[in-house]
Amino acid sequence: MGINPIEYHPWKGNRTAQNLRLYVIARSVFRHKTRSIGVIILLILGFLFVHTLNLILIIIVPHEGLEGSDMSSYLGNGTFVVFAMLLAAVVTSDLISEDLANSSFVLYFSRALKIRDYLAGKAAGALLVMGIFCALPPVIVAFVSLLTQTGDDYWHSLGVLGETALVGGLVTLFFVPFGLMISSFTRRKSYAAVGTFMSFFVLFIVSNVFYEYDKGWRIISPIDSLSILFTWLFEGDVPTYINEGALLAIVASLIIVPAAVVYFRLTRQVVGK
Amino acid sequence: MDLKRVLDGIFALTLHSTKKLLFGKKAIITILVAVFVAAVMGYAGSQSHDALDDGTNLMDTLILFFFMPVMAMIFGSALIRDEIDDKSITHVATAPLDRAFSYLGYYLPLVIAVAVSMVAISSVGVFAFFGQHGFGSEALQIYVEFLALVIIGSFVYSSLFLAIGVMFNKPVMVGLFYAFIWEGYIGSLPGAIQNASVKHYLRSLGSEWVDFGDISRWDQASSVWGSTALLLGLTVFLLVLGAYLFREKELA
Amino acid sequence: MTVQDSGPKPIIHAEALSKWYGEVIGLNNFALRVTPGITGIVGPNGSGKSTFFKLVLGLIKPNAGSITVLGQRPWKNPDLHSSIGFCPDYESLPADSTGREYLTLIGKLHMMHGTALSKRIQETVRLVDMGKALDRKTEGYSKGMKQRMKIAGALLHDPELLILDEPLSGTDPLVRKDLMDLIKRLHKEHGHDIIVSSHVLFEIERMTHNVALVYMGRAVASGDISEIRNLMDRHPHNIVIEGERITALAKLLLDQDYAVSVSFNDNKNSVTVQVSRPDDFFNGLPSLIDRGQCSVSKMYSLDDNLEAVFKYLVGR
Repeated sequence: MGINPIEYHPWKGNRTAQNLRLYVIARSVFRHKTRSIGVIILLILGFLFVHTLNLILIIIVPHEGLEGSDMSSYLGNGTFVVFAMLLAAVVTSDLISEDLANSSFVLYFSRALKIRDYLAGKAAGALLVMGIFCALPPVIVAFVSLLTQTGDDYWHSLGVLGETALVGGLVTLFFVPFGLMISSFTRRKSYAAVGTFMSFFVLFIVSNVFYEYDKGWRIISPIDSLSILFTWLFEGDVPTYINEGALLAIVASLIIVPAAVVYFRLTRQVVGK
Repeated sequence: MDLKRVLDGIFALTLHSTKKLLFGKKAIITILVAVFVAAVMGYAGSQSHDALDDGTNLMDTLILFFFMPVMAMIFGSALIRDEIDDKSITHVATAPLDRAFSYLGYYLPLVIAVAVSMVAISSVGVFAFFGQHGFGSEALQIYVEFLALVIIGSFVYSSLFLAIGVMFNKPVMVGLFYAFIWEGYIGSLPGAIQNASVKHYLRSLGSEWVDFGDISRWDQASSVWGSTALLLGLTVFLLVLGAYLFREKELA
Repeated sequence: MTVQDSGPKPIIHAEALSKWYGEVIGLNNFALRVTPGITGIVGPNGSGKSTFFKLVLGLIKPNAGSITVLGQRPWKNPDLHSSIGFCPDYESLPADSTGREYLTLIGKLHMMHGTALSKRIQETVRLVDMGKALDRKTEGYSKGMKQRMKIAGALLHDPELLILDEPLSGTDPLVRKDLMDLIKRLHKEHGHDIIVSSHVLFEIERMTHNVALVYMGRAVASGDISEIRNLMDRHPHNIVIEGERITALAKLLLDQDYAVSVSFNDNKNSVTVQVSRPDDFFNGLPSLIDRGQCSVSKMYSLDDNLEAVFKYLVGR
């Protein structure tokens, strides 16, 4: 009896319902994260330390309008960014590492799912959770300030509200690609969380060390670069020793480079490298 | 209790774990950190006009404040927990050695690994910085004094993070909180609250020994004998606590 | 089940032993007396076999009841480990070590040194046929090699009692046969008392006739395997018969007093018969086929696993 060769015919059909698949992944991440004790504790602590005090101040202190400088000092004092960094480390730590550890990759990519959609789904879920802390509360604080203002220049306040939404969106987005990249480097989520937080903290330390010799080094600290960017957006100026182009390049590269790295890393993982 | 069997067991575990920590995958972290420290301190050395003060400040910030607790956390908090999680602890738990002594067999290699790594990292940093300014007797003195501090730090932080590894299911997260938030934030606050960090007492010892940089002028230092007693007491307390918890732990 | 105190002195004696993990019960009022020789512990996954072994080794503490191993209580009693060798059912080999490094560590923890240790390592790996892989990293071992190396680790200090938790699981038939032969040899030629667990009765039967059945955290029966077999035979068997003109056969089966029930499956060519006396059924089947003028293409029992007997023994 001879051996019958197995004829392999690659699948040539069309992928359907891509958006639904993406939505299912994002929803799963969001549900899982919003039920995680660690995330809930961080959210509560973050709300208490960062947002609640500012909300109370805005309500009880009479103000003529919503000023960019107020929002700049509220969001640019470092605490907001540090909490966002911690939250991102916890939220993104297991998004890819756990799939690598338990071989869910095989399950995901044996379906008609592209790496792009897998990553978009994971990132969308993480961004939604980050948005709960980074985007929503600042917008609420700005909106409450607008509602309780004594002056009548609402157009100016609306402008600041828009800038606040932009800043919130930027911080929401800023740490997620980096966290996903670190998560794709390890199978242990605890190492991914430490790696994400430590990478940013190391940049912060290096920036502080080099600041003594050249103040321009401030921009390599994600905490400082975001704070400077907020000042620029809200108040229209940056310290004289900061090069605006370099600042934008650093912020953009901390988003784009990790996103590209994680994409290519997963492409290699899927083909077994 | 057969003393020879206990000593043999501790020695066997120490040898095995030291080898694992120093020559295993975690060695890559030491190399990366050393390269990073060399780059940072090398650049700082090329920019510095007051080498002794600047070099000391860098050793204080980068080595003692940052990498000392971080390296101890990376090596220590997962040492026992990783073996519990991957169940390779079975051969230790079923050995004829009281688990309190087995705990010592984890602590000693941890101290060795953290101390060796930190001495290597410190040495690379010192040579990268002071190498550009001529390595004189004062630089050598700073080097030796910081080596003494990192070795003392290795004993204290190792006892802390090893105990965390037995106490918590997610020791890396707790260690992360302690190393960055507690030591980094609480330890930097002015006033008596900073006394609640290991870093405070290490710096107190340093302020007495080191003659250069901000650490020599630090006005919030505790007394040398008080700091020594506290660090020693804390190390012994954490060792006893960790050993007790490990002995009582059910390895399901 | 009661524990009888007659017979040889037990190596393990558990009385009213209970262990629970939060709301999950691992062992419940567990009583067992294990005598020297090879003893098979048989039970489905999650029945409490591994929990029992962990209690035997003192890795966990009982919530109620008592257990003695070689006359001593195991919890917080490291001295007892000199007399026990344990091969767990899970992966326990340190991934970043070679087989030699693993065995050396175990040997040194048991106070073995120098040439005596090297000699013993060689003897043990020869016994488990792992000599060629001794200097390879354990993470590169196959499942069968890992099992052998774990058994070598358990054997190294020449313990009185060997505890082998599912040593055959995940191994291919050839390795299985080798391991079963090895276990028998360890008792017969080297004099070790062995407790070996499995969820397959057939595997245990190849190694020993002395078994204990564990189910839902309790020891539901213990004794000679032939008694268990009899119990299985007395218990109603579900047998599937497939072929042509099966309807006629089904009618004839309904008239037999050993047939408890007859039910058709998805189509009329497949029927499930529940019989109370399997021997009578198998003896009488050829004549029924002949009388019904039917042809049987396939016949198999649904009760080859022990689940049905376990349920029967615990009265469910």
